Amino acid sequence: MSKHAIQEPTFLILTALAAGAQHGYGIMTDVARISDDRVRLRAGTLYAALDRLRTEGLVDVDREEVVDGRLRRYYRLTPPGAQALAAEAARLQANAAVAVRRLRKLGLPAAGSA
Amino acid sequence: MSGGELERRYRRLLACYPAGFRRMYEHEMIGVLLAAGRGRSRPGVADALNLLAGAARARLGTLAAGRTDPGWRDALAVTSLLAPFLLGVLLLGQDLGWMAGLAWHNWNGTAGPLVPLWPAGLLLVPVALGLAGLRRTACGAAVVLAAWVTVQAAIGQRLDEPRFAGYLMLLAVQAVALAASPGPRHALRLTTRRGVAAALPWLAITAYAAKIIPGHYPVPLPVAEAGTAVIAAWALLALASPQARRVLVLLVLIPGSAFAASLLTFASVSFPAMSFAAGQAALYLPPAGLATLTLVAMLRSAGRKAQETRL
Repeated sequence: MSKHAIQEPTFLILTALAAGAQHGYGIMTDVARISDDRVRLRAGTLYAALDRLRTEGLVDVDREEVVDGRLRRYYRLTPPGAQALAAEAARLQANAAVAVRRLRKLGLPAAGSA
Repeated sequence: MSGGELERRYRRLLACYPAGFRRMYEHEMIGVLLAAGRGRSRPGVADALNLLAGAARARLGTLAAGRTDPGWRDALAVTSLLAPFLLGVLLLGQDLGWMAGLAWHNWNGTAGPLVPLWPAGLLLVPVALGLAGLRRTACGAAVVLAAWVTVQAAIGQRLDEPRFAGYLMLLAVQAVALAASPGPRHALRLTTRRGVAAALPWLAITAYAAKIIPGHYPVPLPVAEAGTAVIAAWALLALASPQARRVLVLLVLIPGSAFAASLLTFASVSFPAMSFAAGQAALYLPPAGLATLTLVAMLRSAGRKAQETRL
């Protein structure tokens, strides 16, 4: 897993959980917020990813609550999950840094850079 | 419309997921879907499609490595090894010359005994590639071969020949199994040498019993009948294994849908002929199913061990 680039939805789910344990709907809204509403996860995508991340040991169930008669399961990042997210963040950062450097050389301002 | 009605509709969509997935996630998914779909009276088209796609992925087991239930992938892997095996049995059993004519439409059938061997080799290329670890290439090769055989049959006006249907079906089964599983190498990893050695005679007898090997092969009929009875009993025992049931479902469903499609495609050409072909091809299903059950029953313990170490 860590050998391959993590897909964006998965990256955003892990990022959402880096803030602390969250339930499914919380992850969905958080991912929309982090990505500026660009990535809107649907339930099918979210649970396919959570299922995969659980079997890969990157995410685990934190606790379960019943709210209004509905089950809410909270998920949290595991230490290997945090490691995978850190590795991917470093990879993206390194790529972005090269892009910004080269754009500056071209005299083009890189969006978002100070 | 009440929230209960919306929930019922979401549940109907979630029913498409495998039981294990539903046990784990159905309750919370309903909660998430209802929270995200507030104000709706029915599931949105995009949500519904997303759930159906998720269910299909979960069922095919192509969700990337390490799924909780690798049973279907294992079953498909075994299928990807068995389909070419049965193809080989067909080639050896039926006249290779006929096959040569199918693989190359203007072959005149009078050349020496070695000439017809090349189409046989050609049809076994996908499994060879699969065993060499080139699963995707193998899948592509199976698709190309199926197309090639179809084109050649069309040029030679043999589309209505039952044997063509048999070859096409097994190539289609193989392509699907290669696409959706880790491939024949994985099947071999699940396999013990003793298991294969023990399964081979069963496979041969089953093939004979279903008249895939023509009558002029010197196997006495009572032997074949006794063999069939033993295999049937063995297969019934094997049905107790979920793994064996999976392979049986795969071997019946995949060619079944391929045939439904071929019947629709060729209906205008020659419906009675294709129906006859489908009927003939149905002959290949029981031996394929029985052979699979036999093999899987023998591999069951090995497969389970592999499954346990992965979990």
